[in-house]
Amino acid sequence: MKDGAKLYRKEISEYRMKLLFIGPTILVLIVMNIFPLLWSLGLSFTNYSSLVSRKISFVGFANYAKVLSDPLIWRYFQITARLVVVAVGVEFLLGFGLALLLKERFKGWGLVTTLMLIPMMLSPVVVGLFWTFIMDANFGLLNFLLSLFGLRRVLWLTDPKIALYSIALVDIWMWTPFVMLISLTGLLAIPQSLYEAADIDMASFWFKFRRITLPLVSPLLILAVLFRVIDAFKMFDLVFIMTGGGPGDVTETISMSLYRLAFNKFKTGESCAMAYIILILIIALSNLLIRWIQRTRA
Amino acid sequence: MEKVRLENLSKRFGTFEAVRDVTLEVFEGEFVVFLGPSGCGKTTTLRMIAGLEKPTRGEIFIAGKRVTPLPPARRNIAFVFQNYALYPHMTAFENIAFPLEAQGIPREEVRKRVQEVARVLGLEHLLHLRPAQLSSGDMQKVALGRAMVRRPQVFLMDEPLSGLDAKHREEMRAELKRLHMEIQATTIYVTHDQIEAMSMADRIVVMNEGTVQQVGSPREVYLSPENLFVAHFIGSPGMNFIPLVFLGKNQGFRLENGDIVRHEVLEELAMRHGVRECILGIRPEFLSIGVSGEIRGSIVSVEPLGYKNLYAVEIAPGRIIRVEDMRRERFSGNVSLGVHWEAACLFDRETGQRMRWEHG
Amino acid sequence: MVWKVTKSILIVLALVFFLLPIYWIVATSFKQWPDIFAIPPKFTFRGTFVHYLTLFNIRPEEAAKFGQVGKSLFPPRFLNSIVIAGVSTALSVALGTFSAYAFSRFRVRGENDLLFFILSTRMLPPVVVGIPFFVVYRALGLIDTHIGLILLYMTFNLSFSVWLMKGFIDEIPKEFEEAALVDGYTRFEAFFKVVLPQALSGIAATAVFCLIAAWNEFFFALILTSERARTAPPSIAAIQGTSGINWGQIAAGVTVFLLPVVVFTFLVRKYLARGLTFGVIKR
Repeated sequence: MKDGAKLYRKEISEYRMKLLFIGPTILVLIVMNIFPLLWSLGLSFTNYSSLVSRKISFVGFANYAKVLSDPLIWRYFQITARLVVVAVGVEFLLGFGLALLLKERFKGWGLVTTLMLIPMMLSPVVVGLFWTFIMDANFGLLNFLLSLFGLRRVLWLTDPKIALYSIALVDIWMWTPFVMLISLTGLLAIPQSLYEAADIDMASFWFKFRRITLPLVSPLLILAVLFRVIDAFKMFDLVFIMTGGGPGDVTETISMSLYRLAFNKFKTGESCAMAYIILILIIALSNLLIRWIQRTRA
Repeated sequence: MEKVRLENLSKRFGTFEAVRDVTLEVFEGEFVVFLGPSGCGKTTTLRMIAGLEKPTRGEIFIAGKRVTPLPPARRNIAFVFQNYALYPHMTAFENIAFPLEAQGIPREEVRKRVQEVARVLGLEHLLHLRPAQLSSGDMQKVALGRAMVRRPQVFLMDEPLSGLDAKHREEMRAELKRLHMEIQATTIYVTHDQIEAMSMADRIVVMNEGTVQQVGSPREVYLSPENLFVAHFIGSPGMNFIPLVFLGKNQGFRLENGDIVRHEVLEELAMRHGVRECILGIRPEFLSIGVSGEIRGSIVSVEPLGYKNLYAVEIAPGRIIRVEDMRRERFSGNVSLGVHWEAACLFDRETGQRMRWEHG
Repeated sequence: MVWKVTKSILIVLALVFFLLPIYWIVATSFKQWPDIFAIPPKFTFRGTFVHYLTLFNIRPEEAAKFGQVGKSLFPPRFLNSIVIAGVSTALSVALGTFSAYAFSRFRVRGENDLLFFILSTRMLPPVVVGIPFFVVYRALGLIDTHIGLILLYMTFNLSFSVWLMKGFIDEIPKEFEEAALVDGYTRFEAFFKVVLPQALSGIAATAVFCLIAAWNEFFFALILTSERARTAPPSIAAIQGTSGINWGQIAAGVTVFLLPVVVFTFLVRKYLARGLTFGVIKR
């Protein structure tokens, strides 16, 4: 029998508990995210350079104008867009195709699927490094495999016409499993009885695919693609490790060019402006994603 | 004319025999119900008829054609699933139209037939809604509509009403019966609910542990059950089982409490079968409470059920049977039960089979 | 039947495509120097541990053969990775679990907006966020400090662990806490005694994902550290030689670095779909 007095242990109020539990998180996020963002917003309106010590002066929107009117920036934007479209497009097709192959279980299914998911868990540095090794024009494995089929060797990372697609290839290698995983989740969620009912109704294979599989899997597929598009746009590590934006500037993605602006040319103020422009773009894309997530959760 | 014929149909899953040697004929226009507890093999048998499961042994014929190796699409049957299996992303209209579109039927024709089916089922005003927006009763009707719109040879239904609450179940039962009378389609219906079976079936196939226990009209399985299982399963409350020992020609039966009961006809029956340990099966409504009767007992409790009373009567230590009485007065204490012998069954305690006049 | 065989072939091809590169670099780490650059590439070879020995400075004199100058800096950097990833994970999982509990059990005003704000912080491109961080950290003297990176990684993974843990805690029936409350425990005690033990597997999974994210991180480690607090990823990338790149040592470094990740992937394979989509998708 509990002592009546003991029942009145000091109970912290719900409000205080909420504050205690959520407060620190929000605080950390604001300080670590908002604060630096505001600081750099301020910097974007100046001619500050982290290297050259000179008097900081206010330049208004000059930096933004410079960035937006620079044809090179637009070129890099196009390069990035091309990379995203090619990489995510192939990931989408391959990933979904793989998921269709893996829809039915077989012996060792668990092991096979887990093994296929390793590429996307690795660090981009690691991936970039060993693919650079594999893509080496002389002793790389890839050119060796090509020679087995009687094909000429390719200058994967040094041929200006191909370099961007080589990077796309590596991205595809890394992230196809992601699309596969999400598609598979969607496919496995479709109840078997729907297909049985369609079988009884004499539906052909294509009819079933078109009218049942595709519509029911597309919400998740679109989610996966949106995630990938946003991530691919931000791509930096792979490019930095594998080509550094070269040869020339054929693989200069916008993240790469931003890095160069800030840490090679040390035009800090200008780079803050460019960073903000990219930020607004990403926020727009992310809003799409968030909106979509809300829709699928409903 | 037979519509569906099953010959020695069997299905094994690993070492588990789900269906054993089922042989059956279903006639044109008949409403046949497979009835039994869960796990008795009724759903597996139905799925084999549909082609969703491959039989381990045996043959299936539909309209005289051997369909055993054929996939479901080639059997021209319709299946109503327990969980409706409605396509969640399509409207009711599109769900019902699906089978017709799968066959490439032109849009005008499709619309006509869907509307017709919707009218019969009373669904016209719901056609534009999605399954998530429908009540379970309406969902079931849409599933029915999808089955009906194709005008198949046979309707197969797998416990379609089990997802509905009691009130809707009653309504749908009546609805199904009405539809059957209107369309006269051959239907095989699976359920574990014996009230459903009794009220809807032309014939009931009682199954247990993979085998057919009895095939007969509702009346037959009710009044003349083949064995203890059928006798116990059918009827609510179930048939009373009273152990008797046959003492010999002209000596009657001894009850558990030591009393002797005499009945010439039943004694002859036990004699013919040479059985000593018997069980008397008698339904509660065929016992009456009176002053002079064959069986003595004392009333333990009474359940008033509105127009009748259901008594629990102890006739021997630990042996309680149920008696139904339609009179208004409530009885209690020691009573004497009269037996309506013409409705009584005699079972062999060892085999569980009912003793019949014709030797099998 | 034909389809089944085709399917198997395709799956095997896919497996080869995804695993061959990994196998190749691991094999390279065990190859003798000339074998590494052999044309055509060697699939069978005599193995050697020399690259690992030079990587971990156990036999630094061998390094000169491969054109390397000076000691390998890998061991302290590897240690840095372990420490920084570990501490930041512990912090973000702890904070994240508390917040997730509050979001799950209490009605919070503007909950959806808050949650999506938390999610959006994860969407920012590292390069965009990196510049302000660089500037601020320099001003605060946080460049090249362990604390600096720990704080940063903790922030990253925070949004992630809030979303993941909320999903896990949502799945724990409230009845257990309510029973505890009826028995006289405070909400606080109920949280520690009833919810946490049941959330352990979720916490472990979340921790693994945070660990992997912090472990793999490259960009911020690159720009915010130089000597003392540098982690493994920038370090491996910087392994150079004077005569050609020291692929042997890079291969060894890569292998050592990816091994824990592979192990962890297998540990959390049940939660992979959930982990990679912020808990939006539960398998």
